[in-house]
Amino acid sequence: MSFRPGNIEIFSHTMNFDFMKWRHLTIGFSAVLTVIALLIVAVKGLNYSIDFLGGVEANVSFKDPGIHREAIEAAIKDAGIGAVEMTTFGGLEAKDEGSTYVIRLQREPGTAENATSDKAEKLVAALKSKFGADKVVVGSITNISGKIGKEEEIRGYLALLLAFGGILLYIAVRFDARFSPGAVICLVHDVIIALGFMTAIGKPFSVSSIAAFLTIVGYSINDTVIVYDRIRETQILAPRLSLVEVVNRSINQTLNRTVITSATGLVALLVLSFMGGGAIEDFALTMFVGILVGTYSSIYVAAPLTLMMDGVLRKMGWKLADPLEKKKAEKDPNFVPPVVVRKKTPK
Amino acid sequence: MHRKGCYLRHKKERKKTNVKELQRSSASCFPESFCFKVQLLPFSSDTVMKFKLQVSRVYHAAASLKDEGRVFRNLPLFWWVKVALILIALVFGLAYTIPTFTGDPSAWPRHDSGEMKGQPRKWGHRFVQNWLPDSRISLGLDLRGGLHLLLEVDTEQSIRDALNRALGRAREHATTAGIKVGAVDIKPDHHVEIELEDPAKKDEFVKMVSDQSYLLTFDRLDGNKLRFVPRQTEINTYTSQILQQAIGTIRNRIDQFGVAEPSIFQQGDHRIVVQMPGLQDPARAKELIGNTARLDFRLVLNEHAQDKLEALITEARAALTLPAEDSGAESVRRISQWLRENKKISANATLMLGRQYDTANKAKITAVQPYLVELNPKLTGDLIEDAQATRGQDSIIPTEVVSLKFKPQGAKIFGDLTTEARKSENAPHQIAIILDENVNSAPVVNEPILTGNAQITMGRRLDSELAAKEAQDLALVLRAGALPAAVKIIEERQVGPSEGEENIRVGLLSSAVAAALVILMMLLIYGNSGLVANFAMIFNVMLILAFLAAFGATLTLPGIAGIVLTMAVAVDGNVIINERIREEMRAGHSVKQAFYKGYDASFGTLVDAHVTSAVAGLVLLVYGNASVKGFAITLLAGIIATLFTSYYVTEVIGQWLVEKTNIKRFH
Repeated sequence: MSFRPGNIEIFSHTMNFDFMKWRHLTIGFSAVLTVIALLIVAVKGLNYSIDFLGGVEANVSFKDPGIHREAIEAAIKDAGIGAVEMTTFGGLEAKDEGSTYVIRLQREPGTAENATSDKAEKLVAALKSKFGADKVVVGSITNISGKIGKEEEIRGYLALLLAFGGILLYIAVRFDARFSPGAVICLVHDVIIALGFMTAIGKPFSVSSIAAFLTIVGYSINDTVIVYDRIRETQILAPRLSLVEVVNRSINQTLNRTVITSATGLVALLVLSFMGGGAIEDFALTMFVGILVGTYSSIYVAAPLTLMMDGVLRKMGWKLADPLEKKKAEKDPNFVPPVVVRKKTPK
Repeated sequence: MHRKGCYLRHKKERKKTNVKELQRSSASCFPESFCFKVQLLPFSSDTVMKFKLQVSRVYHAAASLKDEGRVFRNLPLFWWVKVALILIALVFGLAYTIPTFTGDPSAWPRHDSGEMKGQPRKWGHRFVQNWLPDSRISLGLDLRGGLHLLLEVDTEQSIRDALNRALGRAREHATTAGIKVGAVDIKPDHHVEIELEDPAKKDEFVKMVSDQSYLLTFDRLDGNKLRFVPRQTEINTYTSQILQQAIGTIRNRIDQFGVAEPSIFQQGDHRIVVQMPGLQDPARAKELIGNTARLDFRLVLNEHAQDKLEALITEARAALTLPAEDSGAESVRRISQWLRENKKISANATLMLGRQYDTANKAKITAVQPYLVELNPKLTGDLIEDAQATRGQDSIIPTEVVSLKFKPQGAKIFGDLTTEARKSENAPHQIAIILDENVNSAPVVNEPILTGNAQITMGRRLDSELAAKEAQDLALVLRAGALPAAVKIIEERQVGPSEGEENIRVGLLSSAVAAALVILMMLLIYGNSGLVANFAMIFNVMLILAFLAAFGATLTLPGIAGIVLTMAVAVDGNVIINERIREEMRAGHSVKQAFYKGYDASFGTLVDAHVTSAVAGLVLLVYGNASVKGFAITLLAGIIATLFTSYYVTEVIGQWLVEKTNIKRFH
């Protein structure tokens, strides 16, 4: 470990910590965490945003600091618009200039199926008539009908499945079939835990959440592929080592790189989640959690699962993945090297 | 060469300087992998290290003498070629990125007169205008403000209307030919059942139907019912024609509305995306787009007197359990159908309501008057050549009026229609002007109008400016053409201009801070190669922006977040390479050897890692909505650019540093 500026090395290069010794414990821990995340989602329910359910979401700024939340809610109720959810829109603006709210009006099932409702205009008109048209500034309005919402949701799930399938295939082709289930289960585990965390803190589940999950998939697989690449290389160079030992060495060797890359990514995301502006902040927070979990899972979920797959495949008789055994298999047992007979010794 | 004792032999020959021997033996005896395997032999690390140093020196000397392989004393020609390629990429990147940052060309101060008339005053602007390409990064709606609409076109109804019209014409031909046609039933899946009084005449009638519409083919005869099935390919063609026509009409309307850079395109089979950046009045634009503007002229029939008609309507409402206040178009259609089926009105008549709207609140209906008109209009709005909004002269309270001028064919049909209305048996002598299934007016025809001019009176409004705008909008819509089918808005996103600017500011600020932190981290951790990596990262960001500008992709706020994430990915590539170089140095190689080996070994790793990330990015590109697509585009562009910058550019720079300078540590 050296911390000289310009030559920082976080983990010593001679480190040989036995990661795989703890793999049973950590797989159990990961499984428990996944189950907890699923339970949170099942019990608390996903906080569907209007992207999937349909409805109206308006981002309205009130330029008068004297206008309070209760007054706004009362005005909306008086206009007979229905139950709305108001959240303050974050950002670094000064509070004395007034505040910005995100007003969300979910679509009632049965209305506005095939076309958008006119609730958005009603809402803005009601607010403007109550507080004065100059004090109410509409930042943005999003109005989604039920039909589109349902389609977006299904497309989101399909997109995740497609990403998993594509990666499964690529890793099976590029590395070996043993590696791909581990990688994909590691990704699924990351997405579920990120989803559980976001549901636990009550963030909305929208199209950008699915985008964040897909990006988490992209990053986590990055880490996992680095470890797999090193495993593949170590196997070729040191074929007599057991897979457990190979995996341990690979993880030890790539530990520096993993930690530094994750740290860089996390720093960038931290900046975004504080300063990115309302829409990006949720996205950045999801990704932050996702990269944290993804780094852990590349070491402690992907690799142990690969070992398990290896064991399973060996029992099934598929042993040819080992390069040395491949060479042995290629050798012809009846091969007899030709005998060179010299008549005379050379001068 | 992996013979046992190979290394011992060369240990003995260490002091000899027989170059040829060394060449012959060393070039084949010391491949790189040998050094790895030595690591596993049970010698102490000191011995191993010393041995490897010797090996590498020998190899280095031999190879450089023979001038082969990748280790050179001087930088080879190939290096200069690489530098040239990178410079070209740099120039390309700068050329496409700079125009975006120089502001709007129409806002540049220009020379008013003289030989430089029209040229911008500042030399920088002149350079940008004359030498650099004209592409700017187009900002998405959440950075610029504007309106985004997703419209669904009701092609079903349109096909049904087309079938109705065709079968109506066929029926007329049949009646003149003496074939009696009974009820016509169009089912939801476009199957048609027609009742024929005389089944023997079926061939003639089938020919008449096929003449009128190519959307149907004859299926079979059931008793005295003829069944027709739809031709799917023709219907598909017709649907795509409707979509194209709708897109053209909407584009016409928007052009006349005066929006800069709108984009309208088809999505899927039935949907149209309309994007209008920088729009000031979204409500008016939405009305303009959704307005079907179906105009037709029909003869008013005199089968029943007014009060009898109202009694029939009440009866129909009771039978269909419709409330008395329900005057919507759909319920009127149902009432008409019920009346036709129960033979209360003739088969070619239909009910239309003339609705009076409240002057203040357009949605409230104050009065309703029923009219019995022809079922199939002979004169429709597509035969209008021009429409202008003018002020009516003929009453004390000025009303807005839209004057219509028909095309020659339309003028002829209008002449025939008014002549028919003038005939004595059509007693009220009225022609109903129907706009969007609402009887706008039913003027009495005093004499046949052969000039091809007509007028539509607009309702009165309290606000004369609003009334004038309404008349202008209607005239615009009639000029641009009626929509071939009804469109519904299924998704709408509006962003105000102030929010757009705010988003840009926030996006730029957060990317700047993130970039600064990442640069700092790389310098602290890696020193010299961190500096090179930072330069590569900035080059990367510039290439992404150039790519966006060159290909006309839009930059959205998530796109800016994508650029920040790409910085992390770019840096990751260099981290992999540098860690590899550090490993090689520890294994005992010289700086140069470690450098080359590091780059060689990490290329495969980089490709694998980036391709798998790109898979996720591609899925995002296909799946996402407009703003997520912006993110996916920057992410993918970043991944492609990263392979170029993090690997290639840093390799070339590092090669120069390592070969030509006395740098002790590159990693």
